[in-house]
Amino acid sequence: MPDTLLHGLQPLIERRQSINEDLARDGVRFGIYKNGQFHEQIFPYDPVPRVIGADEFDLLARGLAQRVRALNAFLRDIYSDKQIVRDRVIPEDFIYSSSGYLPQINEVMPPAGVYAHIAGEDLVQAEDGTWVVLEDNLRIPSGASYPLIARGITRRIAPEVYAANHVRDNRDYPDLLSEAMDFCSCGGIPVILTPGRYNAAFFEHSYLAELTGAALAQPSDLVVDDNQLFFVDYAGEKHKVGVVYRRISDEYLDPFCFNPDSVIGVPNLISAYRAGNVAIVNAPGNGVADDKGIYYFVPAMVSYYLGEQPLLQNAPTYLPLFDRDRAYVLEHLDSLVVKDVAEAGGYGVVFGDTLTRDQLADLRDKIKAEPRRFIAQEVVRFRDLPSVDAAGNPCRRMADLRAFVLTGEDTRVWASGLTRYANEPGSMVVNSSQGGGFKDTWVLSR
Amino acid sequence: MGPITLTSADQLYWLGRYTERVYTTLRRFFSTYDQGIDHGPEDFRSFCRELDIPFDPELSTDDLIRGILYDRDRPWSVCSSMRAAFGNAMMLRSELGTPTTAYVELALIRLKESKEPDTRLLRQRSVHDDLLAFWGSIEDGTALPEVKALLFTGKYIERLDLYARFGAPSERLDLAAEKLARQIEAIAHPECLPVSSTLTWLAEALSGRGYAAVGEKVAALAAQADGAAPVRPAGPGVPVVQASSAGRRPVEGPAPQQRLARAEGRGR
Repeated sequence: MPDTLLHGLQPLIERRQSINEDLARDGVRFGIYKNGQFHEQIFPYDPVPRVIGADEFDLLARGLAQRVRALNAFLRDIYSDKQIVRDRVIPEDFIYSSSGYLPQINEVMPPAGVYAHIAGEDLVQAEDGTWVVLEDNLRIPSGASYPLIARGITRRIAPEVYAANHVRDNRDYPDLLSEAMDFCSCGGIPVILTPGRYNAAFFEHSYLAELTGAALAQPSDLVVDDNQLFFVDYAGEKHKVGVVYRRISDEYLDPFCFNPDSVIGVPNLISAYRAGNVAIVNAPGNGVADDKGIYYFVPAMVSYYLGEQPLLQNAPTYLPLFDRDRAYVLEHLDSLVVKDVAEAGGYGVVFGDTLTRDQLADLRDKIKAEPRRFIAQEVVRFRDLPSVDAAGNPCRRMADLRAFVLTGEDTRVWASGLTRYANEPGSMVVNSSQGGGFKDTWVLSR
Repeated sequence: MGPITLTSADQLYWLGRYTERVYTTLRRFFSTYDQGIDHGPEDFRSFCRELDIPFDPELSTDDLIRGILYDRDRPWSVCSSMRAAFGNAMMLRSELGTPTTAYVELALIRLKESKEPDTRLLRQRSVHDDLLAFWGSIEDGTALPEVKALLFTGKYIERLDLYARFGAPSERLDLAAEKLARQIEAIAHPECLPVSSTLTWLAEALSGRGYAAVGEKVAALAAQADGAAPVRPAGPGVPVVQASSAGRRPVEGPAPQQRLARAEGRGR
């Protein structure tokens, strides 16, 4: 943390109990399934924010916007001409073997041509200060609501901290989201589609609906009639939906198009989408672009589609599908982090230096048998951040940053983000499902 | 905030019912507890009977109270009602707003904190305060008039049911029925909701408990909600229920006025 840019964070630390009480009062929590049972818990909050200087954020934002513009171009291309495959920048195997690629929406151009309206870009800052992208989340990235609501609470509880530091207001997120939704709307009301209370991010669904004024819909509230999506009120009156910000995975979105066993989807939604009568945010099929294997090629996409040098770098990544990379991975497995491309939420991530000799041998066999299933990365030693522990004592914790990039008429980066920190000293697992907490992310205005 | 779905309408109605159930049951509990200070747990026998709660005379007073208030596995406990209210409230954040739903969250937190016998009554007062603030916040907030009406319809249906169970003076039920009528009028399409059938049930329950006139009034509301010609109930101050009607109340126990006086800690 650039301490020289900060003044008097102590009130935030001293009043952390009041902050936590307000977070609980406002219902700031997330759900988690353990042993098949749903549990809701308060999201642990650390009052010491991550601080990003104004100049540093400007550079970061330019890199993030560039990356998301390239990813949108890739999605437009891959669901139409597939020129990037023809030009052999990306092997076609990586497209068609991706579980995120949906042939059902091939040749379907989404309203306004935008696929990734909301991108959650996961980054870490290496010890030398370089920002490194770890993942692009282009399906249903969650987390913006937590720093958003925390900011309102902390400004009220410790206003003098904000008076002394020039922090950019982050409470414009609902406006950015509304603008992105309005831009692609096909005429009609905006809707946020939630699978319901027992979704891990239900708090966020309901909170964003409240702040944007969109109707919060459960699948049973929506119906497709004559290729139009409608929101049905209690009197049976149908209201046309112009844009649906769905918080349901592709495979469950429409049982007539994808998983026929889905009971949380809207039958025929994809037909309405194909007909150009409703925008879906984010567009179905984006999973092909945030596949952990495709991630490897994103810097190349930037050059290919935009003719620019990528401003942000990936963590050094190896694809075992390539002979040379596989040989390297198998030889250096004990110093790499291996990720299962089918997993998310911190699951399926293995640090080679934690494995026994037998476990390493087992993993080598799996990689040889299914090379497309894994990627391997050099372990990025990222900066730990100043924090306070549960007792209020100063400590340091590893943390990442999920930045939010919203695309409507323009691609804009939200001047904040979700900083997730690891629960244990030295741990790099920051996922909330694995016990991690969150911090606000301050972007200084000067 | 979009149009009101059937799901939301149902949740609003039940949020109104459960919050009222917690509030009024706790008030009744206060006075019963107060009586028990002098007379022991026997007073809880009638409290349990009024609410159809199984009464086990072998239980200690503290176990009895813990069961009534905090046993989350019993659908009749205050805790269960509070959790049910909370479950509905969290689904209605976009209709009611976070500042308003926060009061339900607070009431649940305070109820959990009130388990300690030493501070029980003090903490429960906070639950009351939070529920009053919740209703006030809805009244004064930005929710659509129909949203408010659906919630308060549930609230006053529950109030009528509980007041009749507790044997409240008929004037009190009459006032609640007046308020209920105003809420139903603000619902654009009550015929599309199970309002009429609920009111019919309530009217029969009220009549069965000795409040025939209020029952008739509620029956008229049921017809109105079903799409029949609107029937305005009698205005405030009109004595639609005679004190003697309480004599037909099938539940054994003291006369209504006497019971309510005890419920409010008066009369002794």
